[in-house]
Amino acid sequence: MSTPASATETRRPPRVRVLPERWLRPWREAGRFPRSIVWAGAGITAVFVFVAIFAPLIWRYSGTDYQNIPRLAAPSAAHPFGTTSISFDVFARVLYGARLALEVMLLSVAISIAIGLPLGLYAGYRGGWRDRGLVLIMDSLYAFPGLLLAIVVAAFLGRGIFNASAAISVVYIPQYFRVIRNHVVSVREEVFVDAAQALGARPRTIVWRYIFFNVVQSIPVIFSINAADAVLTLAGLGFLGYGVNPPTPEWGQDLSRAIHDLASGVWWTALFPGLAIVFLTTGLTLVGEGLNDIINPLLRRVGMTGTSLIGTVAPGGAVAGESKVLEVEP
Amino acid sequence: MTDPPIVRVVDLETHFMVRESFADRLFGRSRGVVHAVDGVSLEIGRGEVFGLVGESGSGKTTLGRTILKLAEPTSGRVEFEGTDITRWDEDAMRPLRRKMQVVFQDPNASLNPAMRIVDAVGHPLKIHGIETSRRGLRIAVGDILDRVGLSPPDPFLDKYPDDLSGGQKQRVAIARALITNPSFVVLDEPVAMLDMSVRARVLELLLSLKRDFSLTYLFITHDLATAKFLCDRIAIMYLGKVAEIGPAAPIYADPKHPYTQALLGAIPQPDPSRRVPPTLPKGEIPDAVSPPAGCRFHPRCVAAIGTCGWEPRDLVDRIEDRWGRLGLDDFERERAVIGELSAIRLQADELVIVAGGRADDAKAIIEDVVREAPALGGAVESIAAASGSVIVRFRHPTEPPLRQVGGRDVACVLY
Amino acid sequence: MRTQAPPILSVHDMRVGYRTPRGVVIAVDGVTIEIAEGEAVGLVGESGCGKTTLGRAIVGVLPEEGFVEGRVEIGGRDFTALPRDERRRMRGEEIALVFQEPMTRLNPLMRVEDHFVETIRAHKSDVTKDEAKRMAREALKAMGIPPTRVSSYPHEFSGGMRQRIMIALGIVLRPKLVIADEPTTALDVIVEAQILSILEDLKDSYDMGLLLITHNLGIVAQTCDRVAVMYAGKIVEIGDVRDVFAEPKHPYTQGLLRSLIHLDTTELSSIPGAPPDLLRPPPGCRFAPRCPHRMPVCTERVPVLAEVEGGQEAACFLYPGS
Repeated sequence: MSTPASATETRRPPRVRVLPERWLRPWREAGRFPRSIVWAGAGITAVFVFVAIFAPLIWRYSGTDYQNIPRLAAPSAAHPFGTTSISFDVFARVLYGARLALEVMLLSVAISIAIGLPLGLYAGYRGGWRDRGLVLIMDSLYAFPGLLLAIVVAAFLGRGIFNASAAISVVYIPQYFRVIRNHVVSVREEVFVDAAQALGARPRTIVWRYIFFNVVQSIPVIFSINAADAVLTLAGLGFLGYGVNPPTPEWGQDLSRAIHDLASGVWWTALFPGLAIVFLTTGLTLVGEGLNDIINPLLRRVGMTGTSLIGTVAPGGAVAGESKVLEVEP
Repeated sequence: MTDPPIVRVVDLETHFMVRESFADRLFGRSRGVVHAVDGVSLEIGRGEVFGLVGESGSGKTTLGRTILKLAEPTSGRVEFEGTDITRWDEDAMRPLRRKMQVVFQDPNASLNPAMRIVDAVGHPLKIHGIETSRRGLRIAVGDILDRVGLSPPDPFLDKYPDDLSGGQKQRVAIARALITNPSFVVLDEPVAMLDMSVRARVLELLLSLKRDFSLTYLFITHDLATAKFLCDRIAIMYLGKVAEIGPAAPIYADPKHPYTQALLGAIPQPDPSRRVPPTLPKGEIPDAVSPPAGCRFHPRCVAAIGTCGWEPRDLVDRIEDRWGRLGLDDFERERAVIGELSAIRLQADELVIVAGGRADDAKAIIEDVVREAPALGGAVESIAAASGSVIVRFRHPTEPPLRQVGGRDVACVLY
Repeated sequence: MRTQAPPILSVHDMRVGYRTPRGVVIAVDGVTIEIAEGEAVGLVGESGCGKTTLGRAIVGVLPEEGFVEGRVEIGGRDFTALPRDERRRMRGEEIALVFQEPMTRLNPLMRVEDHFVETIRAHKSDVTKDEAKRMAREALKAMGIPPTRVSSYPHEFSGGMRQRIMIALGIVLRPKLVIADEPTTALDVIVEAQILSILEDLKDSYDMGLLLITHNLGIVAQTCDRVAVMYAGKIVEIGDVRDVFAEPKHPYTQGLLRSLIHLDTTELSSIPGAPPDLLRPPPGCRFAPRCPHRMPVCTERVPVLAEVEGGQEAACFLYPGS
């Protein structure tokens, strides 16, 4: 019954795709501005990742070496970022601090997604009182100022890398939950989900193949913003004395100790960890904002605002071509 | 009919709760009930094309979905191939879904954007365990795509819906519905969103598939012209109930129900030489939350009489209409006497206007309104002014049942 | 065509394009059309033909990626050369726009009568608020909206009534031209008939010109004096509505009319193929790939609109002059 048009058409196996074409489409259609933002942010982040991985190969001192290192030395060739009051090399502290920051960030984000995502899928799909209850809990957590919440959990759990990551992850679980849940609720009403049910698909299949695959594009954006914030929160925890155990190199803790040094005119112990925090956070945020611009097409239509609606410019509506009502068949 | 009907519904009702605010949703409160399907009985014979015709809000889509158990019936019975499936849950329905399928209206929305065509169309085969091997699926999907006119099928298999046009997507949706060889297919406005020059092709495809696969169709549409061409029997729905039902030919040749007549008259014919301004019913389909009493079409019907089911609400509407026609000064004057329309009390079969000292003036106005609307007047038992109020009593409205007239059933007091 | 007064709308050789990621799409390619005072012209075509783009381009409401070439004269004045403020003023006063979904153009936070007051006072600042309210009620009354409901919000009305409100809002300042883009597509057939009869009454009472853009040939047959058929960005046939429907000259029009399903249809018919991709339109006549009367010249040169008989024009090499 099926007559192939040409031999070559049928023999060729389906092209292997790393990412489905449709996921790449927003990227291709985005303007130069959001793409440059993403590249810039990715570049900055990549520097930190590189530094974190290759720290021992880049610099001879580790973040906890103190022997034969002068105290409070100003930046010089031997110690480009100077040294601290307890003879740590600041450059090494910054490099190894990057390693810790990225470890904690990845761990906390992983925990947040592992908990927030399934809960969001479940609540969004099931609805009813289960949904309402979870939303209530998540909204309450969300209402808490992030850093405060992290402090409370960190104080409860104690110090250490894993505990710090867990404390930070709690702040972000509601974020993933909300976005996924809301997206699920809207996708749930789509006709193709109805169609899936009409075919006889089981709820698990529907949630996975039909709903999840259509909400997954919201994750990268939250992920980047989450990552940026995790770095910041970790620094905040460290600054206030929570988080990881000293002497593990951590920018926030270093910053906190460096405050004392400022009175004596020592600026390098505070500046460099501070800059590290700012740059890494900025890099991650840029990636997040850029992705958001690309994935969320509404934002692309900047400038379509109108003041009075009457008798003036009509809103966007159909774009390149015709009314959305009718389609044409070749 | 010698064969038992493939689908049968008896006194079917499907109601939905209306939840308006977040607080409602949080506490599970309902602000009202939408009577989407409110007492419908019909049978669909095997091999028939049964047309379900109505405007938006008529309940036709909900009826189709209830038959497929995609919506829960509130009361009544749904039978498929002789089995009562009304209370069957999703697990029980699942194996049955091989035999009853649906094609939705919007081809752009009914396909999962995250699934390739081969996966989307092959999915039913996997669900029902008919075919699970990758190779077998590709062959089966290729066959059915070829059958629906997407020839050669191979280039389509690995595409995503985004890559296809509307007409192609609709064919894919049809292929997906037919791949399990069902016996009954619900077509919900299958060509409404396609261009005119393309509709014919898809309709022809549907007809030829019906012959080859021995299908029974439930064709849901608002387009009476297409229904006339396609359907053997039709049911005209209005606000959740059937107005007229029977074989298509006599209904089109000689429509009995005023609503059917109005629908047929309102269709804009592509023939400029026939420009007859139709007598159109007033207003639009009202809210299905509190439908009109008696015959639901009566407030808009040009042929209404006293027994159609007039109730106090209708009198308020008449007053509003009248005020719409008066000059502004007269309007203000009457409004001063009668008061705000929202302050008029409606209870059971009574309407009460609190007019204070001007009760007699109010009574005069009301009598005038009633005089202008003789059909409504036929249902008014009394208009009395007493202790500062005007009380209008109505006869209790009754709903006309379906009666056989001229080879079809009509629900109208005129017969 | 009445020749006494100048046409209320005159579009000359309009080209409209969009810049898309894949290239430039010319959605409207050299369209010339005129509407006389009090005349109703239907612009019909299927999806992708450019009719909506043309409508928007005429009044200057294209999105950012669009660009326009050509001349538009409204009421004898060169519209495209006017400054933005002047165009906005004209859009309220001399041109009325009626689009498919009225809710997108009504402010959900404003009462209906306030919409009118704002519009009226924006264009005629010397009118008092009470006077404006009175005008509002008159306009709404003409639409069948009772005075008791003028203070309600848009979402409290049904779809058909909202469309009436939109029309009332558009005509309250007595414009000379109404441009309606699929005004009844989202409405049921009875409400559609009601709205069309309103438009007809308005046209007769106020001598307004009407450009009715739609895919629904039925409503054009019932409401319009002349009809223009668009295909792939060009007008392929234009003429008196009775002539075009009775004896269509262009093969596309013929195919389109044959494919309509109406109450007397006994046989289904369709046009094979699909409209061309406007990124890379085919050479010569754009309908040639699907045309049953295709000749060699059709893929070589582009036919232009030429009179076939008695005021009816078609762009097809079957007729001399193209």
